[in-house]
Amino acid sequence: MSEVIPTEGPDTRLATHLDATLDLLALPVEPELRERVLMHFTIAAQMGDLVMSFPMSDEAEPAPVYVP
Amino acid sequence: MSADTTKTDAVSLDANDLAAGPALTIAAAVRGGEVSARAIVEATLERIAQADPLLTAFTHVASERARTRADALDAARAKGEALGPLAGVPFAVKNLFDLAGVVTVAGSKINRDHAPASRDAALVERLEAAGAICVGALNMGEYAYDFTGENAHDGDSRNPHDLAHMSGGSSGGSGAAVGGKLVPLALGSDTNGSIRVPSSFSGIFGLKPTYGRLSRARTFPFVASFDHLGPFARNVADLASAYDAMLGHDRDDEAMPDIPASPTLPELPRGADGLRVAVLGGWFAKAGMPQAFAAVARAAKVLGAVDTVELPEVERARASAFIISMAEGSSLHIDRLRERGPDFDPAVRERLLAGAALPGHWIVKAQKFRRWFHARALELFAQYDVLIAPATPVPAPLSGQKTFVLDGKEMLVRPNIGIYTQPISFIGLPVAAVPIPSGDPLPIAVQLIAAPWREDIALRAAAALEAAGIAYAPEPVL
Repeated sequence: MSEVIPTEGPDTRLATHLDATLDLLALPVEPELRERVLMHFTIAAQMGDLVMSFPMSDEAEPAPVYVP
Repeated sequence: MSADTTKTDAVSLDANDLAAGPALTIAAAVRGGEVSARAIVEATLERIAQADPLLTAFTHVASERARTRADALDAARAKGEALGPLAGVPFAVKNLFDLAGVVTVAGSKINRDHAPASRDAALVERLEAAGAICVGALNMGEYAYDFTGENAHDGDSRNPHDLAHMSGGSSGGSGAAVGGKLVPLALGSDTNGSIRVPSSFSGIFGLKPTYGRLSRARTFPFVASFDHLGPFARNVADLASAYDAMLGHDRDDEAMPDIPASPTLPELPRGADGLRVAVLGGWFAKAGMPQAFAAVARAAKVLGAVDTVELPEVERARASAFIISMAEGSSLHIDRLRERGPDFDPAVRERLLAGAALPGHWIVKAQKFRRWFHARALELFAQYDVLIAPATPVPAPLSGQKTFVLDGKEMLVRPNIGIYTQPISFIGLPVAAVPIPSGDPLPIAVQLIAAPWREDIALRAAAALEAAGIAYAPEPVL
């Protein structure tokens, strides 16, 4: 995979999630920047789908393990 | 550029000839009294004054600091004191390294409001303890979230082989300064490729050590999970010497395990003797331009690499690194995003804002995948000592170029420059980035990847390519 420049309209659920989260976190976005933020979020969602679709066991440990 | 540089007429011809390096030649000459450290510093400052307006490599020239340090070295030598292995060698650092008395801007406008640093970064202290002389701070992509070397506030670092092209980033000033022969050594950081990309585009040697190998103390972070620091140089011995001088545990970097390390310079004459070398296929053999694969083929031939092997699931590794970087970067900057949004470079801000919306379970899964991928890499290193891959899919694009075509698809330049570097730093493997010039004006590099904590092996393979005459830093155009 290498993300291509999205040529189709964004998934409206991604836009809804993005807008709600930025609002929740009180992160201001100018309208002219919002479309580019959505483009990056859409790319990241493609990456996230790829990561989430990999089967792993319940016992899998994350890479950083806290050492007290 | 802030500069307290003043010109001097007291620069000897020898110093002008010597100042661009090799670093070890400078050090030998200073130790032997053939040239003063002060003369080397003056020649370096003169070279910076002449060439930096074209390269935009420096954001701060530490003239008086360097002169003071040089005079102290010369006085120590006059008293018969032994000087260090890097005596009198000028170096400069990406401007996310603390320099006492200087504001650590990390490529940003926002951090210019910070107080000046009270103490040098750990690696600056170590290089200077070896006799090197810091001459300034270098341009970089804002907050290191960059592969281009472009900077909205300080101007774009330029490629020393064609000023119309990118230096590579985010350690763009480091690439331009060493590639342009302003300094023989520089330091940079590499989270997803920011040492290896400018090494490739600017035609120099870079070392991204194992994650946790070199202290990150007193540097401005980006992605704690992947942040590495390392050196740039114009030859392998200089690169190894700088790395050796910075080794050693540091309690001030909490990600740093106390793992013994031996100097690598004495190992270089062994070259690739006995090393088992393979070429990485699959992901690393797709999507690049012919120059990238030609460089790999030439390196493979010299190193006797016959086998082509694959790391599994590289696409997921890259995706995992991508979203972890977005999320950790966004978390680091969340208050600045809220309060100082318009002061960011928009190209950085828009990605950090997107990162703020990533669901947490994606990131946890990506960190679990990171452990899985690391285990697969270790299986390969049971069979091979060095894996060869391209450093970048293309030579340097034009400055400001937004898209390029790879594998017949139009892609965004910024994220896709790092397609070959990002999966490797994801699991913290040591990599020597080695330029393999082809005669084209714009150089390109390969990655020589070794098992964790085996920087010595990556550097030995680099030395073998250098000895064979295919790896070298080409002369800049200025």
